[in-house]
Amino acid sequence: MANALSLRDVTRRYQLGKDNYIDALRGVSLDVETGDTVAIMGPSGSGKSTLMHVAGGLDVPDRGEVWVGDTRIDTTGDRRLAAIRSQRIGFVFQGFNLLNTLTALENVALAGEYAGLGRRASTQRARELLGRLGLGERLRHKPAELSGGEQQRVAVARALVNEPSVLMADEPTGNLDSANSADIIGLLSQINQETGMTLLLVTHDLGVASACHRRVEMLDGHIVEAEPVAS
Amino acid sequence: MRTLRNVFRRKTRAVLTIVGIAIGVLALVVMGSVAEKLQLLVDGGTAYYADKVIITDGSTFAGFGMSPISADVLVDAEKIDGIERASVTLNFLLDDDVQMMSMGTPPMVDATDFRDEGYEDFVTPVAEGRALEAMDAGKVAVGADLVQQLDAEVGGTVEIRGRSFEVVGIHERTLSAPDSTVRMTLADAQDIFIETLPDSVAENLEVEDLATSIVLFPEEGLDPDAMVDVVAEELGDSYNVQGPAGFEQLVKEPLQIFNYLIYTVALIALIVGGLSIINTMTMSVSERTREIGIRKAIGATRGAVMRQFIAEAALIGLLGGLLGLALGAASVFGANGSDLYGTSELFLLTPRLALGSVAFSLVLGVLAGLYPAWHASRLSPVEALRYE
Repeated sequence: MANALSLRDVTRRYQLGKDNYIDALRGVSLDVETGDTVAIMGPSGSGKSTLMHVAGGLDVPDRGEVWVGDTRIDTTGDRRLAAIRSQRIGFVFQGFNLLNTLTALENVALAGEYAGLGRRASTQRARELLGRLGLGERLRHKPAELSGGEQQRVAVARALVNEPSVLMADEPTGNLDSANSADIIGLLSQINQETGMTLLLVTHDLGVASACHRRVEMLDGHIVEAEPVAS
Repeated sequence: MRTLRNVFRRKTRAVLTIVGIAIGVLALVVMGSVAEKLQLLVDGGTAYYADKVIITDGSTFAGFGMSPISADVLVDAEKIDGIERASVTLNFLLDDDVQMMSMGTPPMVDATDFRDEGYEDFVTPVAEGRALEAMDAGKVAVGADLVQQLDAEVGGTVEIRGRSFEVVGIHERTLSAPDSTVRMTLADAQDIFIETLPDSVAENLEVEDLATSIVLFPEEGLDPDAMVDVVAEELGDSYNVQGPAGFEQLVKEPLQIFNYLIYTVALIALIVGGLSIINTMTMSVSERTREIGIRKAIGATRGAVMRQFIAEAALIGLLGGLLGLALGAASVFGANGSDLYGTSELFLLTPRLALGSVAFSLVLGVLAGLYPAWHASRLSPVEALRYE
């Protein structure tokens, strides 16, 4: 099967101050097959979020190659990169990262608008998606008026609105209680099963990781272990 | 709508910034209205002086004074080669004591011997009644700005310097000097004028010989400015001879400097407002760093981020411009309606000034938004997302 994502010997160094560097990724290679679900695990500072950012085109590596499907994205310009983030990748973050001044509906539709869908079509699609995720009654609510679980559902809807090939989630349950965590993980697994969307999940939580087919362990900017989860 | 919501996210700050712009635009509208009015007066003057040579008493300042000159000069002037026609003019202030300093033209009495008929192109049309004619002794035609002050109506009477005159006509508004002018026959004007002169001057003058200027119309095709030297040489030193170039030099150029000053002051006020937009937008970008990161993560291009922030800055500029125009228009119309600055209207808010002021503040908003928007668009999505 073709790879949904490929990283080839990727390095990423951040400069914190003069002569003070962090090597967040030190020559990481990883292939993720289309339709696979992968949990990236590891302690804080091991480079798992950076891996997700580089793989999703939010950040650019210093060296190495990053491929989304058959598109190499580490050498592409800002406009193309924005289009790839918009149309081929969906992001879900730990802190939900919804825009506080927009309603649930507007938050989801905005991603459609950035993909060039037009406001009316985006709103229509956003309404359908939120309805399917059980938020049909909460369309006009602003994030502050929604519970954590509801906010993360809105964020999932926003990530799905452009039907991306890869969904990337960075600690998606980090701010949720156990019931809501199970709910969100169940939702992501369901999406993967129904649509075949590739899922890349950054998590500390073994329970969350166990919902994935494959587990990648990171330490100090290296992948130390990449193995299928024992079923 | 979203842009409006974003601008008013910090209500006090947005309102203060908009008021800052509005004050700049208010200054531009009010000061620009004075400049526009003065410009119109000067344009009127330029048109009036364009085709003639004017002789005044040599002791008057720059040819615009009201010292008496002998009407007899006309006879000599008309003999000069190249001069086709000469006409006697008598001008003096309508009120004997000018209490209010007028920024425009003061109310005047204007009289001629009607020898300029057919030569004078600068004729003020009549709005009501009819134009004054040579045989209209005891009658006047009143300029538009003076109707209220004199309580004038066609067929009624008005009082000028203690004498009653019948009103035969009211002139159309020209937005220039004739608006504050009463026209009467030369003989009537001479009767009034002789009484205004000191006895020592008056006793050496014949009333029918009184004038304040002689207007010369050169033959067609001759340049009035070229005739100035010819006329001056023929008549001698005791007269002041002035052509169109003289008027331009005396009035137009100083006015241009005055206009530059007025607009410079208004522009400085606006630029200060523009800086406050830059300040507001820079703070807004820095407060919304995380939001910019989110927008980029979900697919916003640099261009989309730039457009968003420029639109917000432009909206601040536009709202400030509209508010400033509203305040300016209210001030200008209020001041014109009152007699604070004399009877003639001091301000002229032209459509080009109104549109220009709003357009300028809109452009100012866009320019002020450029740097903060550019800065926002360059933020790295990852770093912006980390920002707390």
